[in-house]
Amino acid sequence: MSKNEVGKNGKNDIGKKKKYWFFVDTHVHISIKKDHILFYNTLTGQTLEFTGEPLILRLTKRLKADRNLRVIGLKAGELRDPAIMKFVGRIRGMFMGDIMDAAYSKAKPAQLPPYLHVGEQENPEESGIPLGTKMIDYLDRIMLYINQSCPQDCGVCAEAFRQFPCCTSRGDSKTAKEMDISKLRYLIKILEPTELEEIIISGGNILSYSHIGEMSTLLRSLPMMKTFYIHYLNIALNIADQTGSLGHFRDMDSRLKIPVTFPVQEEKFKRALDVLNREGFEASFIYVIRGEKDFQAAERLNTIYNIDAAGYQTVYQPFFTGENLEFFKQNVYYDRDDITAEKPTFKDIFARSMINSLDFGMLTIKPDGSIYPNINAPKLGTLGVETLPKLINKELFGGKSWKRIRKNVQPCKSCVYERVCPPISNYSNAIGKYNLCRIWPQT
Amino acid sequence: MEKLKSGLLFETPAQNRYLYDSNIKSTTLCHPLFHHILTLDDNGVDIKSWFNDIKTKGEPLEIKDIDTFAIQDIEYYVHKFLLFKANGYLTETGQQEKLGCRVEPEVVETALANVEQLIFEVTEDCNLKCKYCTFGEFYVEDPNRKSKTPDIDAALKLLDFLEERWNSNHNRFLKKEIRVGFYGGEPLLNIEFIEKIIDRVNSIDLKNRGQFIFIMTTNGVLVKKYMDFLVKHDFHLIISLDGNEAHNTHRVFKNGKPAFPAIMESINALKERYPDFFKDNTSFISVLHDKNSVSEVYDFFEKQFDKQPNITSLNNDGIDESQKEAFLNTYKNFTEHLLQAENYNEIEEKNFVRLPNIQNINTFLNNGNHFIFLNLKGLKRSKGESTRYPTSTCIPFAGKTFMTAKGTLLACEAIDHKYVLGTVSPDKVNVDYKAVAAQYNAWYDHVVKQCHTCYGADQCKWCIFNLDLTENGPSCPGYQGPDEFSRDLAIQMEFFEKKPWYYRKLLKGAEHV
Repeated sequence: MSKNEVGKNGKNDIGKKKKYWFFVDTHVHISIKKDHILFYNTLTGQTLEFTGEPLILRLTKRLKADRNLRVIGLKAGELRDPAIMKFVGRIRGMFMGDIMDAAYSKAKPAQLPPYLHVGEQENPEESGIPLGTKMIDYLDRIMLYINQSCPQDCGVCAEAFRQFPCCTSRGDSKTAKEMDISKLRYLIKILEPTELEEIIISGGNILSYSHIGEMSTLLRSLPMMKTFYIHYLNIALNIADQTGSLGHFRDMDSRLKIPVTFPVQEEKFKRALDVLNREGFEASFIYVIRGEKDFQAAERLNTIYNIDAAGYQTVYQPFFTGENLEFFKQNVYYDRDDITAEKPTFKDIFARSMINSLDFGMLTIKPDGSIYPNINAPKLGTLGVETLPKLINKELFGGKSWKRIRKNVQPCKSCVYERVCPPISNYSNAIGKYNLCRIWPQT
Repeated sequence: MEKLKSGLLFETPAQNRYLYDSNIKSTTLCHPLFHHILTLDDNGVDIKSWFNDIKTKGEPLEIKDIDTFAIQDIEYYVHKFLLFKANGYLTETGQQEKLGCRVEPEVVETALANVEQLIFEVTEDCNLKCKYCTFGEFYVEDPNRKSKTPDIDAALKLLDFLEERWNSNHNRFLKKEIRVGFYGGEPLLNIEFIEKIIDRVNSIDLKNRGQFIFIMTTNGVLVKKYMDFLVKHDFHLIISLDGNEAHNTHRVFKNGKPAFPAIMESINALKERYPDFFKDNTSFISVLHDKNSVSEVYDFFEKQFDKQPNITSLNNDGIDESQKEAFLNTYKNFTEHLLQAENYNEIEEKNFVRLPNIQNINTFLNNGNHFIFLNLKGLKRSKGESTRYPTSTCIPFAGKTFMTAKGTLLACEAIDHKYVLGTVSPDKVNVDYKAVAAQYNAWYDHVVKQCHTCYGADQCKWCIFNLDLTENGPSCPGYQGPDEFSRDLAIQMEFFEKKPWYYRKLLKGAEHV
């Protein structure tokens, strides 16, 4: 223990009654679950855990008590306890808190610990607060499936779109194979005055949408980013006499996302790349990876075709087949080091304790106008039947996708990392468990 | 573009030292040595060089009246300082980009359709002649105020106009009630007008709003006479009364006779005949002045009516120069006197967030801390801090629409009648949304330059109508340089040092993270 921790004037005058203020800083997240304690430093990403240490548990509970506001008094006698001394030293050493002579001031100090407080949580339909455009403001992104037809047979079609944004020809829409243009006109009119950040257009093969010309004209009237999902095999089909072509997506704030499934048809990949190079779009290749072999193949494509150098982005998107759990455990499951590397901020922690930021603010609309808060969730309503503000309100106050958080699911709710871990993703639906992590290997 | 320091150091009266950072929106308790290093940085000292010098010398550091610290202690806090710097603390912040919001005509139109409170000035006349009345002897006389009553046809025209908007697509409420207020002068002097307004209001079929609620601020003299009517229409009654007889010596009839006996007779009659209405629908507002005190006023209302009044200070705007001394002899600042009250703790326990000092702390918690979000979307948005309107002025018509006896429309009953936003006549309601927006934006532009260098701008409580909007102004009384803002931070932290348990109470409903 250094001099200033010992006592004012640096004298070895500490009687057992000499008092110190021990405090944990406000940039530290503290979590207690039974006898597990986590201190997480939002500035460094470092964590400090204690399990089965009643003395530390007692001190931590005292720190968290409303009457203490993260500052407790420790007597010199208590500080001589090796367990307490070690605890204080570790907190201090990781810049999570400090200890100081109580004689430095005249009264006990305080900290203002982060208590998350969110206003406007009452259901407006009950309390009468504004609904209308305020509800629409909750909408960040819309994923719009405009058709279900696709000439390709790429093997992941039936499931990939349930795990991550992708194209699919298996949209479950029994009543409409493609979206009626009147529905699209209606939707665009609603979205015009909103602050939507992104509209994502997917299919099927969206290039074969019967109304692609009018759709692109309509989309041009919207200020937000337009993202188009087109499988590389369909880009390779981009020929002059086809109803649609990439040219429709010109002259607007747009980007392409191009799923690439394996085994790749290299000639067609090359042709797709030629088309993209010719058209000059901002594009990302979404490599749908089932295992090491796909990963190697994707790496090879990158190298051979200089994908990065050509200015295209690449995403290695794991796909759960039901038979590649080990691959997921190695490459998707996260551990403490991943958390430290990600360094979630307090805002992330707040968000993870209230909302699922992957789903929150996003609606998925299928060709028949059915609206979903998440592609795997029950239907929320129908475009044109219920208003979007009403459906958003329904999801906010009665739904389970936008608020799908670890606090409500086992085993995560019992884990001290519950609010630090990333949001529950659709991989959990596919794999059938929430804790896609190696934090507690036994669970 | 002017920049302010994001990190401010302050010390409470108990000599505890803190760092508040407006970028991080967080307050950090500091060890004296850490505080010393932050102070050096604040004074422009290069901390790395400074520490290298200390290491070279190899001598411990003495901080006067605190302690002497070894090299390894200094090194620890230098590392902590660098960690804070690397994480966005102790940088600069610009108010200019934060306060960039301006009113659009559509916003004015929508606000009017969603107005929460419509208030009629029922008469300019009053049956009392209170010494401190804002239309009384202390204040610059308004030559246009001539005991006028509003034109009922104009008021009905305004209701036609609003009915159309309440039932239009501009209305964004589902079930929220609309409050209809009657204000004066003494509103009960013009009961005929009130009756006609209520008849018309009750005939309105609201498609997307809740019920109408009637509110009246009265001096109480005529409450006894009209109590059946008030109860029938379920009024929410606010009665002005300053305490006991001695406290009410400024409240007199036009002939100079004290009004207290008549007011008390009226209130007691209401209390006796309609005890439930008195309990649930009646509240009091008291003015603090030279004839009463905070403790006495609270004590009177508690013992007499089992109620807690809202206490205000005299309006110190628009004072006639020749009356300044007389005004200052009468004036008492509520917050100052509240804190000096012998039974302050008891008052605080009973009134809590209604007290101005607690409201200041609440404002700081709401606007100055990183864990308060207006709604759930705030948790997700990664965009930079959104822009907002300068000052804390309400958007025109968003909260209140006030129709004066002269048939002008104002944003509120508490502002100077010269700030006209529209007019009402029996034939027409004239509100030019574009002109109102332009006028507000001109006012914002007028005052905002001062806000750009104000450390308290995030927690501003000032309305532009309380500022000098002439060419001479503004000189905002709430303007805070770093010293003033640090002083307020110290007051707020001292409160939590003394009463930490109130922190959770103020953040009621908060989730402990």
